[in-house]
Amino acid sequence: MKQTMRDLLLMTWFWASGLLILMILLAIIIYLTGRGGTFISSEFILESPRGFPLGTEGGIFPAIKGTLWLILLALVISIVPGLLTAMYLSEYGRSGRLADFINLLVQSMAGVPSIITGLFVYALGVVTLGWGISLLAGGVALAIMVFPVIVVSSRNALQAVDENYRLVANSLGVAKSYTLFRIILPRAAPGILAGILLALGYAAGATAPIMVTAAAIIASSSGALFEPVMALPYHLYILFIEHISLNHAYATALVLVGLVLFLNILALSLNSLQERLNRQ
Amino acid sequence: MKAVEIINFSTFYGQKQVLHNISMEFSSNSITAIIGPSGCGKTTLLRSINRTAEMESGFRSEGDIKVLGKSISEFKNLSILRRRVGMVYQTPVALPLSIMENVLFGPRYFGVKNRSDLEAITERCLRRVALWDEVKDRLKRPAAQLSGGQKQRLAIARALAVEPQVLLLDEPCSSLDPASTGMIEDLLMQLAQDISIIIVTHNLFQARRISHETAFILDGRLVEKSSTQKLFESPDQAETKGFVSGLFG
Repeated sequence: MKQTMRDLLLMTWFWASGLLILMILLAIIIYLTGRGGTFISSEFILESPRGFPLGTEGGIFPAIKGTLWLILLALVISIVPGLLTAMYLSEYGRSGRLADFINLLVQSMAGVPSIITGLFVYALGVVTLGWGISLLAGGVALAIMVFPVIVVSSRNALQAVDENYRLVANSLGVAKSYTLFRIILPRAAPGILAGILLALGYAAGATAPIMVTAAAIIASSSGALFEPVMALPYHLYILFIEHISLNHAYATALVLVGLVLFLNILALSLNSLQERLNRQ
Repeated sequence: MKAVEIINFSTFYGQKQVLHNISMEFSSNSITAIIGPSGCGKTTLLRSINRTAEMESGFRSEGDIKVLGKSISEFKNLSILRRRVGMVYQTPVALPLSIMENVLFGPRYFGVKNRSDLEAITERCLRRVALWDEVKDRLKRPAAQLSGGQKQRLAIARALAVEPQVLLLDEPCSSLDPASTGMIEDLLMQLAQDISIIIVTHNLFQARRISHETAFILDGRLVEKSSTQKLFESPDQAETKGFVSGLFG
């Protein structure tokens, strides 16, 4: 009787916590939609900021483009080292000393405050290597920030693949790489992709690393590597902190949240596909 | 030449000794059953033969095992050893590929490219495990759709596709129904005309039905190995007699 009471209490607690989080999330979206929803129009999405001070009129198209460029570049830079690290940890290193050390390193990287990453890339890339405030510097900073996310999620997706496949393949005398590319990677692909999308969402919302490396108040965001870009979180920050236009700030926030939400929903559906695969 | 010779073989996991000075031989073209209570080291012995036991951390061995006359420690390239010594596990495993690609997983790696060769290998191996008639119309379908018994026969076909001379089976029927078990026992007896089969089994009836020789292992020591009939009907050791008559185990 006492035990079942405890179960009941715990379940109530779980549900209450879950509902609370859901309510907070919904409240954010409803509030943003209420404050900024009416200002979202095709003009707002597709035009550059105008007016004086800049941003009181017009739209945020260069900021959307800039954010997409930044996360694309961060992905291009981080995906190969991230995947290779994950493959080493899951298939080759396993419980070896080197793997333990790399795991510790990746964990520490994940703990570095993103403004520190930004300042590091500022010192190294923007100043020392002479890139200037640029898309490239921002992409590198974001890549460093999402690298541990990609490593951990890809490693977990690889490790979740049925151990029996490795056992069977191994006893046939084939090389690990053959098993990895023919069986393990295809099997883990949805999970890896989901992790990458989550990392992209994380990068899209990050402000600190791009503030000092890439972002400008106004730029065309053409995709040129050595030009500064506009970015949604930074644009939002400027609109808000300089009291330029609270309405446009809320509308920008809504677009940013929409983008991140879209990436996360995509990741979630890929994750459930992965779970179905793993149960097969 | 003996298919497999085990000479004074001992294994350890860390400080714990699992197998104690085991010596025995396995003939070609025969089935040898290894029986014994759970945890006696049967599986460790089996996995030592194709050197998959050493993948566990802390594993160490003394003594020697020879496969077709060559010491397993002399194989610098483990893939050659593992081609000669196939292995089938307790859980029926279908790789997440089509039925045909399951069979061809090994051959493709070892360089068979010609399409008609690949098709010939598929048909020959599936026929040897009596699965061909059941799956010949759906070779391109995912192997995950097969039943447990079919998956286990597919696993045997996959192992046969790289033409091993020794086949190790670790309780291959323990998760199967009696009909599937019967099919696998029949096909093992067929296969034993060409290769050497070593099967670890919990099922004393199975050992009795299919094996020519039986080895009884207790607490990591070989108690007795002789012809199956003798081991079950007039064993030399009292412990063997106790085990086969169901007194313990």
